[in-house]
Amino acid sequence: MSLFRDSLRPPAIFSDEAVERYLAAIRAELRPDPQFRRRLRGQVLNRYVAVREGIGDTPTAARSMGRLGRAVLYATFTLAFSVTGVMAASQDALPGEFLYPLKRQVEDLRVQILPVHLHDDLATYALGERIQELDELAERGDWDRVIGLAGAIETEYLALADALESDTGELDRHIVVLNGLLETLPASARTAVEDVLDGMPGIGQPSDGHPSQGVTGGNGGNAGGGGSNGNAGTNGNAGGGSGNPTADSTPKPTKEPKPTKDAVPASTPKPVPTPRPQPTPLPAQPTPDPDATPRPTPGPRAPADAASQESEPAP
Amino acid sequence: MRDRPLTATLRPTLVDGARLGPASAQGALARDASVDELAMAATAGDAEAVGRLYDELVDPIYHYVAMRLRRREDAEDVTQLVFERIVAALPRYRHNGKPFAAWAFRIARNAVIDHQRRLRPTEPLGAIAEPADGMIVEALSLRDEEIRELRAAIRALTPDQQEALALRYGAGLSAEEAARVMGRQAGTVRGLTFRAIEALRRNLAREAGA
Repeated sequence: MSLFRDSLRPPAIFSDEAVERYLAAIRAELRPDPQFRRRLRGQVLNRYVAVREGIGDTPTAARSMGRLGRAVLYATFTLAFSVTGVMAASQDALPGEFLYPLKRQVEDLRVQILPVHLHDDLATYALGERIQELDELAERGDWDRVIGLAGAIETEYLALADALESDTGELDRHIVVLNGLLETLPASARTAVEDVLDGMPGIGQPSDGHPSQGVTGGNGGNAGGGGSNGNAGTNGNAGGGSGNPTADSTPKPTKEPKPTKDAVPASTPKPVPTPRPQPTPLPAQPTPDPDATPRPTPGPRAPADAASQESEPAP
Repeated sequence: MRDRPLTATLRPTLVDGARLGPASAQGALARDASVDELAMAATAGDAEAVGRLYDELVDPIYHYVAMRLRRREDAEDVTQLVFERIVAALPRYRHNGKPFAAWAFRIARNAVIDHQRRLRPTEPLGAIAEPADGMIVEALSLRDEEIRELRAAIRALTPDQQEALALRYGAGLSAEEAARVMGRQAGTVRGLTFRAIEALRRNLAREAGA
């Protein structure tokens, strides 16, 4: 309040009418800014159109989210991250581990999702995965699971071979891929897989009559490893490095250098399969060095060997 | 206390709103369509009616809001919020005999209460009124200063008295119209207004004699 107020304005006698005049003066002072008025009109019309089209929302609803909404949002994110993380972690799982069934389920799911013409590639991929698992299990020395997985590989390979029987070009392509995968295995795992795959139909006896490359074709009779187990020189399929099909009829005590697939001549004569010796019992304590000790023989191979013997012609 | 004259648009809306029929929204909008007719047309999807509805309501609502609040910026923000809420609620509005303007002023009243409730914790006790409309103190004329004193005296009234004054002298509503908005009887609103003016006169006389 100014010190000179009384000199400027004499004390007034306020009546109701005077107060009303003041109030009316206040109302006159409170005129909205024309620019604000015009701008707000445009906003109102825009919002009205948005609400009418169903794309508008109430101003209060846009600012806050209820507890339930937040809970649902957090739960959705948590579930999504959890599922994604578990699925990613399962891709490195090995047989016997907690997430391994999920890994197999994901593979099956891929088969169901992708088109039919890609199923063969997926089966090849899955077979490669099994071989890699076999590799890791062999490195761990978990021979029980190696044997079990070798049986599964045999089953999958049979299914793949059946599926590709009508298309030998595809079969050859997949065999080349599998050969490359087998190259990555350690000697112990490779020979175990080779022994399993040696008994597969379509490997030793290709349908088109020419000698197949064979998954174990490069190794020929080397599969026997130490030879003491009686598996050596199993079926001695075509393309063996020795070039002598009959040489596989006897067990070889040592491994020979494995030739490459490119070295397999196209005109290699058809091999004469030899009867596979009976499998020997598994060693009680397999040692990590497969060259020094007898390697374990996959359990399920005996029936397969018998079947292969039955199907093979007599020498 | 005499009733102040209403605008030609608000009188049939607030006082005679119950007599309006829904048929007015069906045809083309008349030039002198009431607020209720405009509201029904806007509910039916007429964008032009929304524009005219805004033109009819923006000044009364702004006056009411500005009289309740201290700063122009706050008055503009709350007025904008009021119209956003009105437009958002238009699809759900059903004319059931109650005037649309009363419904709109109810929204404005709630918005002002929310705003004051939000600001109250930060407002110092016995705070002196700021210069109105952002004007600096030196630029205030004698009349401006008196108006500022009057506004400070209004803020010393009870909330109901402030509400009644803002509706009657800010928005220009009659006692019946203000009563509809406040949910009170018209006589109650007249009593609130009478006591408010008396308190203002007393306070201003005491201030002038100090």
